[in-house]
Amino acid sequence: MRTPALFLLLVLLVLGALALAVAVGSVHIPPAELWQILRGQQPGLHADILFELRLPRALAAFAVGGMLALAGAQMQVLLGNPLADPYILGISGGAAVGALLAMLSGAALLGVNLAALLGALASMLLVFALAQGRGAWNPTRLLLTGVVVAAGWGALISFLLVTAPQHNLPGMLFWLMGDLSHARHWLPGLAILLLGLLLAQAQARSLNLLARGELQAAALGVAVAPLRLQLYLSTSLLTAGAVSIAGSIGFVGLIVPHLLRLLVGSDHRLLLPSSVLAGGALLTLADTLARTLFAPQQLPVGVLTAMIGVPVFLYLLQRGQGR
Amino acid sequence: MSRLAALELGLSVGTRQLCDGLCLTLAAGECWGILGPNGSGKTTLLHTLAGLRPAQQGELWLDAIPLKQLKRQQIARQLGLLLQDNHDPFPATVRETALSGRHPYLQRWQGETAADHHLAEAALRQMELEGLAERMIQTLSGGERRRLAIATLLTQDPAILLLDEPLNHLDLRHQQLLLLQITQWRRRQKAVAMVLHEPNHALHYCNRVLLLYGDGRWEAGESERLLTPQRLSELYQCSILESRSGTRRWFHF
Repeated sequence: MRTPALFLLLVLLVLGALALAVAVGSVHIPPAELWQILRGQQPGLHADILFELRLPRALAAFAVGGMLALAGAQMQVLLGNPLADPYILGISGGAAVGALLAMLSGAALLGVNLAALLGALASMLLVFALAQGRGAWNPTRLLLTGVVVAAGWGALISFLLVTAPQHNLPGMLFWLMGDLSHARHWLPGLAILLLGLLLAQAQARSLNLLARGELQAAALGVAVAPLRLQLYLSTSLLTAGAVSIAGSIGFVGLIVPHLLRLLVGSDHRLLLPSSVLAGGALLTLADTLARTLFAPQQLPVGVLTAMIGVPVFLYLLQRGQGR
Repeated sequence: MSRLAALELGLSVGTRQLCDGLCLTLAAGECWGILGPNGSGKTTLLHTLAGLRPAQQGELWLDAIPLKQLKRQQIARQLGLLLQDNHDPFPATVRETALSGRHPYLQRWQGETAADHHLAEAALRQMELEGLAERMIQTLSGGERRRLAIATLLTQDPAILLLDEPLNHLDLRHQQLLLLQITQWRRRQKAVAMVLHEPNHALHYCNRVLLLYGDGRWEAGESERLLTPQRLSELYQCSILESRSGTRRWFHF
């Protein structure tokens, strides 16, 4: 596909997803009224629903989806593995333990978010310190350390779930599957996303080379060690931001970059921004479906991302075989 | 003029000393052949010369500047390395890959210019890959991938070329093409060093050779003088014979 056409399509997809997210819901608001509210001409209950509930949630969904896709694309290069996802090094596990402990102690929403953030950062420092060790820092060691730490978090999560009081369980499970119904912090989300994209885009050409192996990258003038450090910090912070806003939403970070590699190829100068747009659009759509499909019952959005992502991905994989 | 110089270089892997006190100067218009048995440190030496791994002992100088003081990007503008193999876990096209040779010359936010594209296309033509420019690298054969790696090096166009077994995977036609290219590089005053497994290529295409015995011993000198059946038999620990026709000589089992 030609690049400008693809970006136009993605921008339209994002706008469409956001429009759908503010237009659809349990309270019906006619399109004409919607337009007036958006232009600030009609205050009232519907305006409150729009500005206090739907729009912040839609923007948070976009930010989280974009962060996860951007983190995933960079994590795949950092580990030299197209199957890596943002959670592979245990960031989400650490965040989950933090969030669940906060829920058990009866903390309010902000407390849970902060605990998740602290857990994610703690896990990031732990993996970093352990992977550093005495010797050189290489992807295999990083991957093994991260996977083992993630397994440790997994055991702790299971322990917390088994010992938790009954009434806490639904909230904990929703968090673990990823849930945007309490997501309000779209502004810090979008800020982290923009900053992350800017930093990543500055290194995009170097990422193209690192994807071909550390020796090849170094031979063509990439300072590999500082680049890896930047990638590790950037993917960690993006992931930490995403999970503290919305819990551990699966699949977006793995599938969106992968899908975009099939569509735009492996030039990260195109891949990174297009992943952000596609990830944001996918999560916004999935969240709209999650809260409307079985309304008034809300589904955790993580369930929907997988339900949409899997068939789309399999279709593209089949189609891509001819290339 | 010496482009790349190694002084009293010591290399070891684990507890094994591969070479000791190695002195080597790579001058413009020269071609060095590096010969030695498996595991004697040929690739390790090449990577060390390229600054990809630290030298345990000794110093490296690039155009009279210590290699350590140079940034990777500055080194890559002067020195190119053909790796023994390339692995490509991510999809990319042949054209994108060849174009990556321009990376050292571009600023952070700068894109490739038309001139860069021309260089990449010329390099692909030279390696007879122009028909494959839009193909994904995963669909290439081993020899085609090798030619693509060489085309990337041609696009990079450095003054110093370090080649690790450059003839690997190439059919006879493309071996000839590459050896011709090496002669051209020398004529254009580039400095070449290559790891080889075929002493005849070293004898006929390199003016100097470095023999690595793998136990710390090494010998360097003019290929014409240094390459004898006795030395090669000692180097490879097997019997190697020499034949002559006129002034031309070659080695065989």
